[in-house]
Amino acid sequence: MYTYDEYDQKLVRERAAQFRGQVERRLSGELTENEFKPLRLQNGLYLQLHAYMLRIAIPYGVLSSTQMRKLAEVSRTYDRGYGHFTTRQNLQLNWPKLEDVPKILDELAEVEMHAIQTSGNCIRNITTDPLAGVARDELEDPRPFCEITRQWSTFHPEFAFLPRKFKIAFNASGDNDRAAMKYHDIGVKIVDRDGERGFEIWVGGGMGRTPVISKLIREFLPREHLISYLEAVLRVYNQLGRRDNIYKARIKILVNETGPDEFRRLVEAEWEDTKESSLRLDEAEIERMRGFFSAPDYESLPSSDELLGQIRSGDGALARWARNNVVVHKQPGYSAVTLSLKEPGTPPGDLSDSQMDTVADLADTYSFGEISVTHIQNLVFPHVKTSELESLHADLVALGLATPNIGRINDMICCPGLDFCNLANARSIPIAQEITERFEDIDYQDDLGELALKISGCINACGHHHVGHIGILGIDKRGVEHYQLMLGGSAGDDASIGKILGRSFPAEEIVEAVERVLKTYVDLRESPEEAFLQTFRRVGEDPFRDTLYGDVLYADHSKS
Amino acid sequence: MPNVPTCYVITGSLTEEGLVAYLRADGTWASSIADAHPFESEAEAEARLAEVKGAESIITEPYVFAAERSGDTIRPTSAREILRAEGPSTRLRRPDHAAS
Amino acid sequence: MATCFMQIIRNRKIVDDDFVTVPNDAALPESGNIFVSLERWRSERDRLSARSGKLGVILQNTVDPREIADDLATFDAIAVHFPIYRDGRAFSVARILRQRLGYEREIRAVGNVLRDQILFMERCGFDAYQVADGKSIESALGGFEDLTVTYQDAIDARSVPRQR
Repeated sequence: MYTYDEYDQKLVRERAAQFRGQVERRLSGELTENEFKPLRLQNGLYLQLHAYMLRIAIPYGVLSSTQMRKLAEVSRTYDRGYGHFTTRQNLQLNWPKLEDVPKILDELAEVEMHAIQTSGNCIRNITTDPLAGVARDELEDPRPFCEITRQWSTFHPEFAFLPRKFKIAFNASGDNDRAAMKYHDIGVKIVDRDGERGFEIWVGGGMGRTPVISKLIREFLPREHLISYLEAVLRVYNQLGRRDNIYKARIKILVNETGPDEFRRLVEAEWEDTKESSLRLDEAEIERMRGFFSAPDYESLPSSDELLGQIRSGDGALARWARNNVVVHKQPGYSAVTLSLKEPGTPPGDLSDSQMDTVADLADTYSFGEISVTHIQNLVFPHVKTSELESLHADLVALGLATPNIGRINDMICCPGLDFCNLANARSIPIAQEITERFEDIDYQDDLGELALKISGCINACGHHHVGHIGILGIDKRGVEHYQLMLGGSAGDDASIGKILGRSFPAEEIVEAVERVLKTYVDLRESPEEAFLQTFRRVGEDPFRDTLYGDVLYADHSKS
Repeated sequence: MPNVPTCYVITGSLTEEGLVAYLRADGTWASSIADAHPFESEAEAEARLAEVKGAESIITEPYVFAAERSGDTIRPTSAREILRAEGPSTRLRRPDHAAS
Repeated sequence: MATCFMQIIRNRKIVDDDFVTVPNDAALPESGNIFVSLERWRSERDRLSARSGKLGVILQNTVDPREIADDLATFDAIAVHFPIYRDGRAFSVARILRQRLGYEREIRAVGNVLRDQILFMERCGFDAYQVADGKSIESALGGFEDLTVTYQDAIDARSVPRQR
């Protein structure tokens, strides 16, 4: 993984010192809250429902065991002994005191971490595939380009006060997008054309109150122009993006208003003037970055595909876990393992300080000290010897992180909701917990197959409800929490936005409504292999609307 | 609906800690809504709020909300204010499986 | 008007401001250095060119500076206005003036100019700053020193990758 040199180290230290000064000026009254707010936000510090919240950056989701131990220590010392992994591969602490935040930043700087640009109207954490570097389907490891982009965007002097926040994601695995690339302000897809490696540039995707799938703005960008092109897009956005209405300020609105063709023309005109400037990436810099992400010291082993197949074919807990939570690896003899942070009874994405410590130890034992964070709020051990899966499984069971539900209905994305968030209209976590308990039977979950359920506590859509196969949106009806149900969304390369089929449900009815949707799917699917999303796309929304709102029980007559 | 008397409460977040606070009658800040001063009218609460807004180094983003009052008890009515008063409704941290 | 000079920051030093800003509805002073709005420059171009003092123009942050490319040689200074510090358009305006249009004289930040943005302003091409009313100019000077590591080229070509 990337390691800091003296410059990187100095930058995070200076940032911590700068923030210490800003906090002092706030507490002394030199800065008003209005002036301080954007400054604290650019350092990931929110004021939430009950307390401050600090969002710590985990660039493209990569963590070392040393960093994980530091997160444990910080959660224990300055917070309430837990942290929350987010859909942007970051970590949130829910209870820090303002005066402690500079100390936390000092501690983080010791392990090459920070909270820079994790909020505010600037370029946010760069995200990518949690299987980057190990996925068999990737063209190349996208992380060197993520790091190049991270450095370019960090304290970019021109783009610190954009019309609105700005998110960039990378995907190197063709159609198997595991980074929700098409729902980012810019999605960069690594592609080959005529034997040359380069990028597709997608612009203007996003969720929030206006979900939009991004548009292909450039079909092929040679590698050396990555930064100059990003800069051209950002400059056009900085100058023309709307600032009169916060809800229309994202780049997706600009692209919609100009149309993709005019937007492309504006960007290309800007880029024409800058592409041969010092922003051009030279091959040596790309190579230098690649050096940081070279493969760990793998043992030379024979292929373990057969071994993994054997483990999976059993009928015990290990076999099921190996089927659901383990994927094949580029390197013969190795596998990648997902640690489920979706144990029944716990808030999705949360991890306690002692669990963090143990995860760090296990990463050292089994995964070359490397951990990655997924946008679905789980952790991955990217390099586990297939022959050690059984042993790792036993250790993860003891830790409560071996729930074999990856890709299943209980592997949900869930925002903090009204239990924590200042913007939320309704609670999310209790709904998630009720769903987890209702569908706890893992045989039932496996029978339902691939299913993405996503819950947001308000229309800002931090819980990605628009792109859930089943999405749940919390709303406020005259002070009472209600939930909209939507179906048919997808965050993948086959991106689609979920449809609302009818009225919302009160909290005590929403899980029942989900259950009716599931029953309808099971009744209508052509075979157990037809996944929920395929069935929904094949049969359309009417049967689901009927079952939700029309008291029609398909189970009675649709069995063949 | 029984006719429940309404009162108005001033709340905000303590600038140093970020924690929820309610304005007492004496102008200091309490962590519990039980200690909040119940203003009889919204106008009275808003007038007091204007004064409180000057003390930014103590309280951040203060505002007024309406609550129900029965006897000495002040009860918020919106889901948001109930959660602010009582804390998150979910268990705060995962059951601790780790050995150390 | 009395000759009571404001202080500004120029090239990282506190100096007396040798310009005055002339509102659109005020008469042009006979002599001395002045800033006028772009509209006034457009409507009174000849009179302004004939004056003896230095001439500066004030741009709103919504202006595309490429529209005045042909006039740049006439201006001894260009001020770009920050209506509120968190409106970042002026950063791009300054960068285009410096890098694309090659403007080499003073570019001054005016309006809601605060310490915590001043370094970013400098990196985008500003070299003079009229600090917001009520804010300490000495404190603002400290803003240049807060961060010394720059990851990307802006108007300066001193990014870390080229130092490594």
